[in-house]
Amino acid sequence: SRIKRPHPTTHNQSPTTRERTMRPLLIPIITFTLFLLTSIPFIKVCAQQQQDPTTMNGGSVMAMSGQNCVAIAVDKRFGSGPQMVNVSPRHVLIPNSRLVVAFTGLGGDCQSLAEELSIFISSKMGRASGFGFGGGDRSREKSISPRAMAALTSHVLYGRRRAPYYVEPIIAGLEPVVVEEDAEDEDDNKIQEGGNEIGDEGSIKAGEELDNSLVDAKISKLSTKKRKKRTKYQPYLCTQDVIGAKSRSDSFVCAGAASKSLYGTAEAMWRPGLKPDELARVCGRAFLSALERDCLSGYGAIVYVIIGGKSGEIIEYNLACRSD
Amino acid sequence: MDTVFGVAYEGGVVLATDQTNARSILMYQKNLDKITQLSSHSAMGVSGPNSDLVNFTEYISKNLALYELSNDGLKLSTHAQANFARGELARALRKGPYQVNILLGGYDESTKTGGSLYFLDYLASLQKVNYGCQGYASNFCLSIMDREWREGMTEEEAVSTVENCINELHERFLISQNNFIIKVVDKDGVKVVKYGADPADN
Repeated sequence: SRIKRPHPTTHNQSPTTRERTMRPLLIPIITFTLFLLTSIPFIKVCAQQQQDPTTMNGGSVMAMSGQNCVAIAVDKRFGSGPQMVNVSPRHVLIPNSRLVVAFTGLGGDCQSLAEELSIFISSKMGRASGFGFGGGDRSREKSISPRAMAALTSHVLYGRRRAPYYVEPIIAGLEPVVVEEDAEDEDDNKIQEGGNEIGDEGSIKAGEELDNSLVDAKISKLSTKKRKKRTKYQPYLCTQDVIGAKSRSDSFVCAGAASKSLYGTAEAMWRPGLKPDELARVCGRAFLSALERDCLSGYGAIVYVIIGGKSGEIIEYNLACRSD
Repeated sequence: MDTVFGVAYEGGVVLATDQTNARSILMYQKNLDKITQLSSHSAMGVSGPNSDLVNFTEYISKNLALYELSNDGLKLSTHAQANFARGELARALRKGPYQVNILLGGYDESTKTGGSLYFLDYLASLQKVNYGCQGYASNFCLSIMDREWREGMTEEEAVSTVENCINELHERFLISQNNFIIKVVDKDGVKVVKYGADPADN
């Protein structure tokens, strides 16, 4: 090749010179890197197309919150890449009547994680939880809360950081929150005005914990002032990635093959303060709209609506949609 | 390359596989039996490299026999056997995976229809199905089964569906698989209905 002398005014090598010396090597370099990339070993079993393991089997899940209620929708498709293998509702874990955990991602890992969590729940909560499979002795009310469940799932998933379960779980439930409230009583207002001073033994100061030993003493001094502790249930939604990073929301969470579309439809249709039947309708509609466009999810949906109240209740809705 | 079919009917399950044992461009034998009996009333049709096929099926079937011996003759249901197989596949998945795709069929008196069929793939996912295919055959034959399967089939109808699938493969599948073996699992146990080449001829 023709040698070109560097331009006297520039110190750096002229770009054309560099190009000329590199050009004969360029094509072999490109072909070599392409060869390297394509020959990276994968598990190759005849007819199995290699894809992202989280979307290989398809499936999507979405959870939405309403007023003292939560809805979680799961689809029914199990496939192998583009081919549908089986239509049956995704396996969900229902440890107690205020908590539903759904899994999406690689089918085998979803089943393994569900089994592992059931074992954990049963060992920690004892027989009262029915070994994580429902049933059990509800009257003892020693049930796992959604927040604890999310922490447990995150822990299990991160434990496999180096060889992760390809599962994106969604935990949806009603979190028990203990709230101190004043009983509604007309006389209360009068007493409350004078009741927030230090040294006033007739009242319970705001934020003070009800110590058992003090309560008796104070109750005898109280006349009409009532202050009680109540357990309120607030919606709790959490989704996690494959290594257990929690992502909480007050409105909705989505996971799975159609998650991008689901976030869009949920954003468009959700509004705060939905009642249980409205919530079921909104959640179902948002879910199905996204599902019908996604080839890896669908073939029907099941919506579980968790309703608060004295003891939680879960209503199951079976929805039909395009079967393709 | 291997083909496995299964169709569950009222009173049992039909399992069928091809009988070729091949690797790369060479065919070793044409009369291999790929449906192994797991227990008295269950069998597993397996596709994959012969080494994993033999290794995995022997491991599962001998462990099931051990369970029976250790527990006073207690037999595991098909559901339990399938979940056990899935657990073993899942345990090995991140250590040294068995590259086997399985259709496990069995007969239980206690279930409503008697026969139950389970689809297990090499990534340890388990699905209970009414009919299934493993391998390239799924592209050709799942739609035939979609059309022909119905609730409350008889054994003759199930076997004829499997034969229709085999004929379709002979017609359109690129790889020549002349011999198929068909077995039925029902209340009398596991029996061979038809074979292309006698597996005992070796």
